[in-house]
Amino acid sequence: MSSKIKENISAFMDGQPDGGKTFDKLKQDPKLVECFGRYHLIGDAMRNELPAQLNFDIADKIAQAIDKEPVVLAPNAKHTANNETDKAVDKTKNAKVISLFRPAMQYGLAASFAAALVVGFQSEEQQVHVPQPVLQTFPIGGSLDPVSMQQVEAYPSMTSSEAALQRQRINAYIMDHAQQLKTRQYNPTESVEDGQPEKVKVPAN
Amino acid sequence: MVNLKKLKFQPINLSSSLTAKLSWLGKYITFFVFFLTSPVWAQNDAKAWLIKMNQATKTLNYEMSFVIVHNDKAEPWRWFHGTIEEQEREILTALNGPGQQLIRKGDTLTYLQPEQAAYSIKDTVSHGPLPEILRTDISHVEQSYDFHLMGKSRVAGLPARLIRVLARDAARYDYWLWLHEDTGLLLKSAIVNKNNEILEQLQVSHLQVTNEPSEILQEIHQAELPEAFTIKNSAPMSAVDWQITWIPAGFEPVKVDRHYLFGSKNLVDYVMLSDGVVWFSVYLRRLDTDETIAATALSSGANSYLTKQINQAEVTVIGKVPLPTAEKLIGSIRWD
Repeated sequence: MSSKIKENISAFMDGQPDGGKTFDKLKQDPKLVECFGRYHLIGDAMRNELPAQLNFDIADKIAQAIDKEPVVLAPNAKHTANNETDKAVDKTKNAKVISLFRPAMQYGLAASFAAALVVGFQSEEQQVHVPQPVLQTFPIGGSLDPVSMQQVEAYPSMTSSEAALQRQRINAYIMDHAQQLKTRQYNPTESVEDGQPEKVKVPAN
Repeated sequence: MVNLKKLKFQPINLSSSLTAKLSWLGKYITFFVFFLTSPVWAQNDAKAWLIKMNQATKTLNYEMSFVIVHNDKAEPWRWFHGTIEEQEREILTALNGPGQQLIRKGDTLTYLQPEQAAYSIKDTVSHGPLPEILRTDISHVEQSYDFHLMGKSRVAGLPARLIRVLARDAARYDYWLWLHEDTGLLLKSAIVNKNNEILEQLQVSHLQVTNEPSEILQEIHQAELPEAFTIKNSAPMSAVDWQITWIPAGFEPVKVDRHYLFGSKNLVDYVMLSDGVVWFSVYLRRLDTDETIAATALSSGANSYLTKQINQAEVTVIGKVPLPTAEKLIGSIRWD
């Protein structure tokens, strides 16, 4: 076994592409497979990932298992989209997802929010104290990002405190927009009071 | 000699059969061109696909992984959907970062965000990574957009149909939707401007449709979610003392109120406009007599942000509309 091939195996393990040459060699030479296994073992040992008990014939078992696997040429649409998968597989998958799901559920429950933030048109501005918003939302899924320093510096005439203020204001608008999007109704015509849909006057362009 | 004759005849035979083939092909092409140029046909077909998408999204049991791509960012999400006891259940989870979640239980949506109190809202259009058109009323959308059924392709390893939802004017963006040929579920979507530049994309990487809803959806049933709020009815547009005199056709005010801007002491007049596909915000903040603000324009993906001073007010438009639309709209604001 030349050191060149060993080097190739090492490179292959590190994910360097070689057009499958090393892989082909690996498949043909059981000695190389042994070497491949050893390298992985070394890697595991270096990363402190060795199991309590080492099972050295695992490579053989995997090889046998691979021999039994049918050759899949292309993703099978029926398999991926329409079939119910094996129950056992489903179980393990769910277990993982649930762990993803649970921490988020523990964030706690809120009482009052947005409705309280809306100030009626009739109320006097001076009398209303600013409510601390209970509801805070992050812009998600393709929303504008809160503005960075860089973007605001595009306006060079501004002092840094002005820029900071402006940035703050822009962020407030962006966050508010995200919040508004989370509290919109389905039906535009039903949302208008008095049953009189009030439309914005749209003159001919 | 016989052979020669045969040879001589052969070309004639060949050409005659070729003509026959060509004329057949010609008929086929004529038919095909007719098919392509008959817009009503294509429109109805495309609409049927969108309705199928709408139905499939709301009724089927499925699990999806997808990525939202905008600018230089990619956000992976996982999506579980199903129907339990004739009630829709849905969980959308952001896979990167602090982990946001959106949970649907019938008509109630719960938003879970890190370091924040969870809250539920009834009867709302969800605001998450998915395009609103997935669940919107297609006949409403039809008033401002044309539907085009395009070719077949392969997306996420599955056979797909491309439907283009094209805005009738340049005041808004186009939407391209790739739907799963068998179920009508979304496999890919793109928000595209009039130069055919893609501004934002959603790409599904894995789709699994099942007979039974995923077990994780059963958990929603048991989970204690915050009590749901119903959104207060919107005030009429006449509640504000200013008017928007130009709005792209098809957009209507869906929410009008006055509130304190997020986390600040600034009181703003607020109008949300929608055409059934896009929802965007218009804010008007009154300025003090000596206060002036600089005009600011920003954009990210399909989102635009524009602030301008009009008289003694700061007017801001935010949402998935082109900047020129925002600019024209702000310029059209008048006081009574």
